[in-house]
Amino acid sequence: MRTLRMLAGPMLSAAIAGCGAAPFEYHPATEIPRGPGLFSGEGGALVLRVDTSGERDEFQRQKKTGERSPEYREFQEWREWREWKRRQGK
Amino acid sequence: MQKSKISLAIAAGAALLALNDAAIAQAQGLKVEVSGQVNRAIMNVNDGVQSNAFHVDTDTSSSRFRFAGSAPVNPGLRAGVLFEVEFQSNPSNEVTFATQDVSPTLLERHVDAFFEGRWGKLSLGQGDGAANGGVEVDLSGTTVAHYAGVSDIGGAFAFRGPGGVLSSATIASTIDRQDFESRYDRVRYDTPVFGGFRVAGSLGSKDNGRDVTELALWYSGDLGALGRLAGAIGYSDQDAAPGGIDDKVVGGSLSWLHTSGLNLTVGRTERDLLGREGKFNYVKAGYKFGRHAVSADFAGSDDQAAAGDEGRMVGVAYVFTPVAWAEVYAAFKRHSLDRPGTTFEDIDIALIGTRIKF
Repeated sequence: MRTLRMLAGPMLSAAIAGCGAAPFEYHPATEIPRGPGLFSGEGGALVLRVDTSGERDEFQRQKKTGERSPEYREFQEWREWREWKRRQGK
Repeated sequence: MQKSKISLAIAAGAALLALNDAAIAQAQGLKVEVSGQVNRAIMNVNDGVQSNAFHVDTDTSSSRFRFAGSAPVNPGLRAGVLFEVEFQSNPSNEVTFATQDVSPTLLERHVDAFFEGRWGKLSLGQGDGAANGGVEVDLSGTTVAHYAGVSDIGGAFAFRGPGGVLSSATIASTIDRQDFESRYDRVRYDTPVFGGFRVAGSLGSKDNGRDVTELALWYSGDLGALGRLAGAIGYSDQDAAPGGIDDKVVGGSLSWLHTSGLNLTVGRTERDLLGREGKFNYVKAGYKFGRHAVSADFAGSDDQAAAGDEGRMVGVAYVFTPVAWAEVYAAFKRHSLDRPGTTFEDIDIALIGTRIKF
């Protein structure tokens, strides 16, 4: 109980004194450090991205069949218009 | 057994609540992160009679790797996993003059599944108990070289008694930080953070089915011009082994890092032992400047291995961080033991090493 009082007192006092202070996420230094890694670069981890939404499968299917969605056709038209506009400006 | 049933019921109930939505949204992409570290050092030990240097894997933060990933289950709910194992050749807390080579083995640290949302985080599996690390909160920047876990470096070395005869009293048995129940199979719940405070509780079992209960209050706050403050208070209770008593620990730690770089860390635990109470106290003062951090620490223990024992440790350390993914460190410490009616030689330990994250 004495231990609890000894630790809880300063902790609560300091926390109250710093009321309104921004919390920060404490990361134990005994764990793998956050931040960059030797191989993993700035991200700090080698990232494997798994697309579980099926978007990649849909892309591959459309690529194979030559089908294009209305949104894709509109995007391509916009890109062509932008290129045309750029040339008009010269 | 009763607590195990309660753990199971809590886990099942929470999982059902989390997944209760009729339509569980298709995850929109899973991100799996692979990371790890190698932490190696040369440790020189002098027990008053023998002296030798050892190549070790520093147990303060062992060589290890992990897979971690999470993905949305439905709006406001994420599910994830943490799989982490360590691989230590010559752990710094296991080598001795008699056993200078310890073969590496792959050991589980975390095999954990979790759900989290605005209501907090629920974890199930092998992982940290709610209070694990509560004695080790440390903002000094020198943790990798020395911290409250004083027995992580040279813990297996035994003190030499009269005539230089090796005793059964090791560093680990006489001055342990008593950091609750470490990692085990459990159900753990963490509340969201309120004003820097978070409460965690866990129920589980370890050591061949002995039930464990842990509760902890964690705090971390940025006090602006006053710097940063972090701390924890915890309680753990493990059911008694046959012929023993419940293993109860109460304690915590507090660490303050001023904006000037000056820092102060304290820790304390009390543990119920048969017929006595094992105590541990820790103080560290340090200074962080640029890529450098220095500190001095002191640890004291009472009645841990035997009634009347007084363990002491004083140490200094320096850590240099040339790049964000590498630390180079050096430390020196002296352990001593007072036991009524017996004189022991001091044990001196010097350590120089590096931790590289990959």
